[in-house]
Amino acid sequence: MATLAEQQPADIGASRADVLYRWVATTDHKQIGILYLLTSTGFFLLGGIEALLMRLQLAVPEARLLAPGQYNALFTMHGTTMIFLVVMPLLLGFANYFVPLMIGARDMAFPRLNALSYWLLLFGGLLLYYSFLNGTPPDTGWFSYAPLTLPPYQLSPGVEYWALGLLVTSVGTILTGLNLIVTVAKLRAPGLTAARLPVFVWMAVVTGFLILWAIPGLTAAQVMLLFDRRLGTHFFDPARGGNVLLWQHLFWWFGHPEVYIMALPAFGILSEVIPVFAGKPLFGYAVVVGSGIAIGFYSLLVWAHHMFAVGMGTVADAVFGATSMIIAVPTGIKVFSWLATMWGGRLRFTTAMLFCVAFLVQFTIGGLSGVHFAIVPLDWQTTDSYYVVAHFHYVLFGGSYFGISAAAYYWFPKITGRLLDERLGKLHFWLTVIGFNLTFFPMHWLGLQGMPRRVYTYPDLPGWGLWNLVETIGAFILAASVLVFLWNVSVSLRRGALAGDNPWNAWTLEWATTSPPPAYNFATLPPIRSARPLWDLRHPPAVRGGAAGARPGARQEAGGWLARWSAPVLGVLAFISSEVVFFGSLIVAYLLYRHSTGGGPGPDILNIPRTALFSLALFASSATIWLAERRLGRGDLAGFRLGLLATIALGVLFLVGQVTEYTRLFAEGIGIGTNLFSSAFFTLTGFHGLHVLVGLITLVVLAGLAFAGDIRRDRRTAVEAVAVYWHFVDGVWVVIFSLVYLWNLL
Amino acid sequence: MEPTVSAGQRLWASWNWEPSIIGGLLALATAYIGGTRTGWRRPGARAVALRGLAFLAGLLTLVVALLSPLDTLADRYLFSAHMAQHLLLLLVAPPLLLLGLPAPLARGLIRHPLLGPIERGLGHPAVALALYTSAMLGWHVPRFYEAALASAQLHAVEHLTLLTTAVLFWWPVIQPGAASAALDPLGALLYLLVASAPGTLLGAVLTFAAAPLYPTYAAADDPLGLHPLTRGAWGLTPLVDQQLGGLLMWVPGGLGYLLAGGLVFRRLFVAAAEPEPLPVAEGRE
Repeated sequence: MATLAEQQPADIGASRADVLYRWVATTDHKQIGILYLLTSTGFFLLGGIEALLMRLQLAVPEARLLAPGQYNALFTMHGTTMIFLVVMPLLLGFANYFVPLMIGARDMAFPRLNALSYWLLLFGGLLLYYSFLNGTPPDTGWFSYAPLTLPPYQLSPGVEYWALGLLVTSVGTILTGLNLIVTVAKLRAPGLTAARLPVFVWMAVVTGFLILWAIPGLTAAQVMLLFDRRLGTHFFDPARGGNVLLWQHLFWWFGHPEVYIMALPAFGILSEVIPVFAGKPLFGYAVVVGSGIAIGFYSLLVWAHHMFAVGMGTVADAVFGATSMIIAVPTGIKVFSWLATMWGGRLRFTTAMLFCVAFLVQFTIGGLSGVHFAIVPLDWQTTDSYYVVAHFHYVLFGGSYFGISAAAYYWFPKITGRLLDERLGKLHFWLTVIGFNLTFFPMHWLGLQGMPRRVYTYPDLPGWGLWNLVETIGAFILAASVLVFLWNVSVSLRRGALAGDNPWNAWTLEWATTSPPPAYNFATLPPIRSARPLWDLRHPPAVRGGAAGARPGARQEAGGWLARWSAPVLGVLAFISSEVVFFGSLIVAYLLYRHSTGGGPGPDILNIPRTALFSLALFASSATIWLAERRLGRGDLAGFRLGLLATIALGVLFLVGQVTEYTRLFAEGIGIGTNLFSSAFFTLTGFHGLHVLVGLITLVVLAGLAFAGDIRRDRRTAVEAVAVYWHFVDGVWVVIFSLVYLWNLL
Repeated sequence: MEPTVSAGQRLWASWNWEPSIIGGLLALATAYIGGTRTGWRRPGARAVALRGLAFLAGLLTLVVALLSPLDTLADRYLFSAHMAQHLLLLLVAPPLLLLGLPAPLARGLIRHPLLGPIERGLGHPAVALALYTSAMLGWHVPRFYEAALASAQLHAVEHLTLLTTAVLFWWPVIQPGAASAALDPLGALLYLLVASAPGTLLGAVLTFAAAPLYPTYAAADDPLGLHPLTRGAWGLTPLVDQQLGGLLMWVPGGLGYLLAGGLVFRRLFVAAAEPEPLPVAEGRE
């Protein structure tokens, strides 16, 4: 039985540098998954230390341990770290490791892209933390409300570290999202139909879509924020006509789905762990999956319920209040499904199962306080108080973190080949439950008493000092629980009981291979006739009273929409859908500021006929690349090369047109910071130009490969993928040209 | 106006007996009865009757949208009423009408030498989605919207384009008689998800616009004397009215796609209703 340390025989006798190189250069989804888990654990310790410092400061009233500014930096970094560098990458790390295993695949669809995602996460996180070394950590809260992030309110470059660090990690996260989607769409084992996918895999896919469509809103907002701070634009500066609500809308467009990006994979974990330790299949599989999809869909609709306090008006408040309550329905369905799964089961209270049970209780409390916020007057009373802090910690700590802990105990044996120690595990569990509830439950009460969040100290009001002290004690119990866990990991890695292939008697595919799995994952796959292939294996049809027609893979899905496209094309399509949200955000900003000229230049200064001419070049290039593709399909390599060159020439012509338009505007003294119109105009068209440039570079690489004779008829998928991207760049310009130029003719 | 008649009564009396619409609806109903006449007495008549009911519900939705006092409000008084009307035309009537289409009739349509190619071209998911979205967004551009309000003919064109593109849009999802462009359940889910986004965007823009975008609804003239009702009793001042319209498009509109998505998702499991043996004695290993 191999364990993690002995995973690769080549390691024996290999120098340390070789081992290090093997980890740095890896494209194996399992190693990348482990890197994700280790990195996020590191950031978790940092975020935890930040939390402990805050709790020390708040232990007694009127404490002077931390200066107000330091406290601001700590709560900003704590929130940002836990959300972007801990919960999300921990869940994505598990998805990275287990989604390919659970669908019987060899690796992710794009292994090298997968490695890139990880390194972007690490370096984005390091960039964010470098702000401490620079002495200017961000201190504007994790949602960085404008205009507090702009001069003159905030001059320190902390905001830049925050925005740039998160931009880098966001790109990596988006790439992981599309990688997960394409992996599940294209690489499932024969017989593993959509109706048989493990719930964790389903939730990883839904999360992937949420990532693709939610995060670009934040990215666009951060770009505009950076432009405001560095290029003299005023997107969010009310003193110059900018709209602070634009920031809030874009931020919560991202921020609300983000909650479910952190919750849905945890729901998936529960849906895997509870059935195994209850000895029963998941109750209402279809409904659990369906409600997960509904939650994901719905979360993209209701972001405005984070903005009750900005004065949206009675009608909007009422509608969003009512619709926010509806979210409790699909979530409640899930909770009842898990309970019904346990009902009458032969329960095994392993540490993993205990974490799931605590999740059910705590997440429900968090859900109920969430429903409170849908009642608008209550929201007004409790917003920005400790009641909010209690609420989202019950969801993210009591929910997501407990789910992650369950996953750690459940899957550790598969990753390492050894079981985590159950006695230390139970100690870890009880310390976590006690510490968590001591820390966060009193916050409900303090919040209702009016204690505001994000203030570095508080007056000595009756009861406040006592409960805050209790919370601080709870926080240190939590810290102890983390130490117990780390101790458990280090002990079990060396001396833990050997796990074997399937220590829990589970039934999904990841347990069909060795622990840890070999680099190629599976030597053979069991036949898949249901959602529980390993259970079927142990209970062959003859024993079960026999049934004809149980042919492995008999229920392979016929074609379908997704099967039409190759993996690269599917990946590009997913990426494009993400880009649509990015451009959509910039277009919204343009529409908002189209007439905000402050008496200066407006849309009427744009030269429509000339731009139309250059636009024709871009539109024609869509036709030429289509022709090039067809030529390649017929094996006409010369025609293919010609078509590529024509496409490049037309693309360059368009860029030349853009440059001349910009030069003319600059010559007239119109720059990006002239007024809100020019800011939105240059940002929108500039980013489109950047996309054309990236497309051109890709085309030039393709042309180089084509002339080197490296692209043949049988290797068309790369060309197809690039062509799809190029059509998209074209399509975006149709929209931009219509809105920015043609509209002025009306 | 007589002081004894209240604004509510005047509104309720304001049905729009537009002959062209009544004629169109009657023609639809006649064509439907003609096309399905043979099916009523066959085995499986229950399913046929259900389809008939769906079609009837679709027609009644059109009556509510186009003939009832809702149309009076939509024409001149309330942007939100107009939005409700459009939602009925986009999200309620077309799916009901398509659900009402019996498979043989739909198959006849698909195999028809003239209509077949049109179905394959316009019914392609990408084409249908593009047309539907363009019609929905395009007609809400204030200039076009106002032009339609000013001219009865253009208004009819607006409603016809909304209705027909919506039928095209729902065609690949409902797929009566397994249309050539039918989407599998996962594809249909994605299709619905993508289709909901422009509505959300438009709804959000309308909800948060700081000034009335459509002058007709902010105008002071009140030929039917309904302002005491709309702006008075209901409190729908022009800006609040526009906000309500945006919210209707945003949330109930979004829920429409979600509901359709739920029904499509169900197909995934109905299709997989396992002929393969399920484990007996679950959980007792």
